[in-house]
Amino acid sequence: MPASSSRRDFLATSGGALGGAWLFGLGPVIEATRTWARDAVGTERPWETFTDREAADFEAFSGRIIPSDDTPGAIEAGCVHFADRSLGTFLGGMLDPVRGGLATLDGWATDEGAPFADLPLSAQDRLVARLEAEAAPAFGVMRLVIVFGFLGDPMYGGNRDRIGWRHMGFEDVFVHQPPFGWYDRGEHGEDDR
Amino acid sequence: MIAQEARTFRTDEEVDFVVVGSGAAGGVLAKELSTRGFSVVVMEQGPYLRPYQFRHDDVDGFLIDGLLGKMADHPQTFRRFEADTAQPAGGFPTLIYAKAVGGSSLHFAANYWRFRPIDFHEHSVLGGVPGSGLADWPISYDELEPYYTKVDWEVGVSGAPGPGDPRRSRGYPVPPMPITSSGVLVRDGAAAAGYTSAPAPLAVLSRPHNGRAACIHCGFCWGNACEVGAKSSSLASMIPIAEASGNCEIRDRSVVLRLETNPSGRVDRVVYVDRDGVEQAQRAKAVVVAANGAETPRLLLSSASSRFPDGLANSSGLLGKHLMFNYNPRVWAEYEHPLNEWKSVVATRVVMDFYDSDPARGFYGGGGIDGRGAFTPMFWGMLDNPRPGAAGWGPEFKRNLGAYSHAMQFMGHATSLPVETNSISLDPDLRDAWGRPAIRVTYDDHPDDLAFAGFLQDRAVEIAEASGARSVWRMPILPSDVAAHLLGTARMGDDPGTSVVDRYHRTHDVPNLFLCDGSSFVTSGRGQPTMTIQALAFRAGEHIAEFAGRGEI
Repeated sequence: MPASSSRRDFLATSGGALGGAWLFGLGPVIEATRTWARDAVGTERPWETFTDREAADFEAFSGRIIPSDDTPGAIEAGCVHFADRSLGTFLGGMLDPVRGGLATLDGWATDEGAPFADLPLSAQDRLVARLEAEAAPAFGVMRLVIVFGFLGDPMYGGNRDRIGWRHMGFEDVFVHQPPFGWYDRGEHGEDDR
Repeated sequence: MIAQEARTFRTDEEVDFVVVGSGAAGGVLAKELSTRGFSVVVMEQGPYLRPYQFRHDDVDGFLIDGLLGKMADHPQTFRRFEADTAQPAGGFPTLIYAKAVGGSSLHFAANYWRFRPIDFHEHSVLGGVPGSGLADWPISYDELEPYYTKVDWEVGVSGAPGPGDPRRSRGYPVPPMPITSSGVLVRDGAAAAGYTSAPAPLAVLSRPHNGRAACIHCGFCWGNACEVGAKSSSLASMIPIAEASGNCEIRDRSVVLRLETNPSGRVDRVVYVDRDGVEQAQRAKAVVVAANGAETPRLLLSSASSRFPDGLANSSGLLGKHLMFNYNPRVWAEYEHPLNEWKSVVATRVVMDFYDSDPARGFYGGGGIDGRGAFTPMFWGMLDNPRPGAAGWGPEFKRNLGAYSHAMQFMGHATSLPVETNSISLDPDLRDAWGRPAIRVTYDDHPDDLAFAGFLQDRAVEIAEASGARSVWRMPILPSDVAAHLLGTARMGDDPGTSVVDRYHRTHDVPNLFLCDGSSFVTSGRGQPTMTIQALAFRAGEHIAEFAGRGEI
């Protein structure tokens, strides 16, 4: 078999790799992170990992990955808050690629005369497409952090108001009874409950 | 169960057995030996977590700490070919297994398929497969059947008979789990495509059984541990009985470094690092290693000595060889209405029409197909999106993330051939947090494994399309480098030249050393090994106890 491609490569190129997150598990910071995240929801605090400009750019970038349209997207879900804290703690292994990707975006944006966050959305989209094409690993890691922030537990600072879960139709109830979905309705007798 | 002070043993006290590992096999062995009156110390490298500590939080479970331990503490390396230099696994471990009391039975998906008679003598029926070490087992299905039934009743398996099932001496203790929407779509799609299906046998209780609670359908079986003990992990089913015997100590956070032998070539001490980081040695009359198909060969290879220069119990040279993973081809489908696969158990319906290998296909292989959702909400965004060929960001990406509740996958579970060059070995450079050589994985799928995965994926597409899906897409079939099924690395056999353990799991080389877990497998089965791991463990426990009782260890 050729060794040229693998499931790991597929995960990496599809942004599915954890990008070193596992190397930076920091158990003792978990509680601090959760406490911070609870505080961060509601009262804005200074950025802990990002610079102001990085935070603005990351937030704008997140809005192009999961845009706000007739439903809320990554900006409303607070993905930048998840990123700021997690990249300084348990996702520390992802900080360098994220920071590198932001610097690349910012360099291109400066050539166009404004910080990335201040560019028109059409120009942001053009630069996001360019980042995906020319810096796929950094793009993949940045997208992954946004996905984690969108779909992870709100206690980590993202997924505010369960925006991500509501987008998926997921309910964090954790006790259910049949019928579970539309296709198993009518399949269950009293014995199943 | 009456609360009582758990039994403990001094390290200089010679216990009857040390069992290394507390997972699917170790839990059964601890229970079987301790309840027969033998003194047992179970060494587990991870912590002893309690059900109230299990939460539905995939960020914690997979990004922070979780059941798998920290990758920095447990480094692994991977290479495709023996000529390559193995590289440290990047962000994701190559071999996925829990480090905690209960082992990977804590986070498994709980699919409890029995092997069928053909699995034990396929080489005799089919002949050899070029490029593989396909061989018969030294035991038959009929010899193992009573122990499968023990697993059903003592560990706790829900289910109902299906077409093509092997003979069983007793029915299931509890009925199948209520069918989910994916189960209905597998059932109806298979029927429309001309295939048959059956309720999935699952190590999850549909009714209270053995004093344990029934499933609450929380939806977090896969990759997570059960907070009500309805999933039949060793932690829920076996460890409490072992401890209640008064003969068993569960010694958690105890990382075994090596086994030491005395001048007569018998194992007499288990050297480990205790929870305080201090090296200790537990004396034992006999040792059973049930640490899984990767940890078991690592421990024995790490126990080389002047008497056993190639590793303990490795006179065959096959220790660590013939590693098998089980291949999983996947097909996703999206439907008009919600399925809500984030509720209840992983799978409720299976198609077994492709179980037997058919020489007419031109390649070896067999397997089954089930239906299921994504791993967890976060994994849907990480592993399953963006869809192949779809936009990775923007409105289309957002729309596809939103299809979570409307989507399911048809997952194939398939054979892996035993290939001698696929192996677990000791990394020459990298060491773990306790100074053990890192586990080095060498793995290149046999061409027939990938060919059959493609065949099974084609069948899954047929079923998905016949089920009325709005859209169907394939996940790419690529060479393996992530696995949770760790099989074949200390294969069982009658010939000491071609196997590591005998038919009773005793090593051919060391009379008081037994190995029993996925490493004992001669062939891979069709993709769901844990039922057979535990049946082997019940059988081994019975025989080992008999040997000990007769003074034959």
